[in-house]
Amino acid sequence: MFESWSLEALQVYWWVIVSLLGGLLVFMMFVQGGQTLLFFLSENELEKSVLINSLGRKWELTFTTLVLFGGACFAAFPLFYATSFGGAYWVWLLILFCFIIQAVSYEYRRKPDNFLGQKSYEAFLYINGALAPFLIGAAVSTFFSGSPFALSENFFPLWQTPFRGLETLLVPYVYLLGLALFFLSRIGASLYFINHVNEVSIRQKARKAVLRNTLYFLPFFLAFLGWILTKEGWSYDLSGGVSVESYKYAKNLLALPWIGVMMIAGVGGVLLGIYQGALTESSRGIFAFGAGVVLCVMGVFLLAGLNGTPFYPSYTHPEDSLTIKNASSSHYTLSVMAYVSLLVPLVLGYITYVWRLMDKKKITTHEVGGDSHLY
Amino acid sequence: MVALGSWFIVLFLVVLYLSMANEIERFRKWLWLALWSIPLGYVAAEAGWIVAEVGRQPWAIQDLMPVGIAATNLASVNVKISFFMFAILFTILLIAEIKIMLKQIRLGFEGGRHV
Repeated sequence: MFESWSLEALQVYWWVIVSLLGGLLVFMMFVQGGQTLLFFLSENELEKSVLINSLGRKWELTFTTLVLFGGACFAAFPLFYATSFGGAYWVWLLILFCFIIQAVSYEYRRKPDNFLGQKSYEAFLYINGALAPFLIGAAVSTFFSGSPFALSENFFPLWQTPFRGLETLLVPYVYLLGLALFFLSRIGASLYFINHVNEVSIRQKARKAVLRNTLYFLPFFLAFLGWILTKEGWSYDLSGGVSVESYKYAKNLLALPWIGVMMIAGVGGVLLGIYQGALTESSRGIFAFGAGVVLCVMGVFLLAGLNGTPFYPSYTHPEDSLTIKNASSSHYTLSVMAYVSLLVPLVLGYITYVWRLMDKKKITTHEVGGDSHLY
Repeated sequence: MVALGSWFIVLFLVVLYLSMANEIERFRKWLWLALWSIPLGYVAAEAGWIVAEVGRQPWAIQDLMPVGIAATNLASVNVKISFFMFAILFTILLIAEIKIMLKQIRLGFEGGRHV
């Protein structure tokens, strides 16, 4: 089936898969958001442990999604993987380090004789929770702001600054999505706690946190949308030439109206989830919210990469910008991997099944209390 | 690596047989052998890497890309900083891990928490 597809069709197919994984990752970062809420939603040690154990049942899923996202980029768009991971070296290394300290913190926090003490590991969880969504938001922003790189004749990234990606933090616009994702992950976490923790006091606080973080999230998210829809972008033609085009991303939205429909549906889902969580007694807000986040983020990725748009533009050497055409794997690789991608629904089904099984019994202070601390 | 691999197969077969026969506690020598075989696993893994990496020289990808071209153009100061970041962080984590393990061993089965 797939081997009869054209290379162009396979490239679009794989960009859609990468977008879907990006959406799932941003949704799953509610774990990070939860790590920044530990101190706000708990009144005592026991409640804090309940929250950490609740997150502890999901954090590996987020981490695996991050790795899967990186893996899909590596396999489908290797030139992007090489340029971004090798070029914007320090940003990715920072992201890596903040995930290393996350993993050990869950395991070590409550163990006796853990050398650094419980407070340090909780601080690590906070650092991961705040930095990871922010840095990933800033990294995704470079799809729109561009990065300073050229490519050598061997397709090596020649990064144009010695700061290796950190110079992005001097671009004020990348803070919009960075901070939006920080607050979005906290909304997701609050909705998750409402669903997963069967404690009235925690649920009440989480409902307030949904509302508060929505108020912080909205201005940054709307400003981000305003920025990409009014900014000029780059576009490439059939010969591979890259030129600057005003209102490029707004034009993409008009050319591909189904992306707009998808994003509106996504925003609707997010708002419905927030409404359920903040203003009703429902504990199911996380599901509409999650579906909405996935659709919205997919829309942002698709706007960045389809309709003749280089998804990883270079503002110093626009002609070296990466597109789904010039950064992709060969026809053979993409078509073989496309068969593997048919397993994705099975994986999603498995995750849903295990999630339900694990969540059948909601977590309580009674369960986590006593000597049975898992994390 | 090959010798170690063969040894592991023998060890696993014996241990499998003894545990299925529910008699493993009586064969203390095999328990000691099993214990001291733990580091051999790391040795085998490292040996495997060395065979693969050294054996493929001068290629990074056999017959496609030589190491000279594949090596990073990152300034060496970046590599040095990252090396020390890894070294410091992982040393701290190693100390924590060893302390936690020693404590758990001291606590034994009765006083231990779930790990």
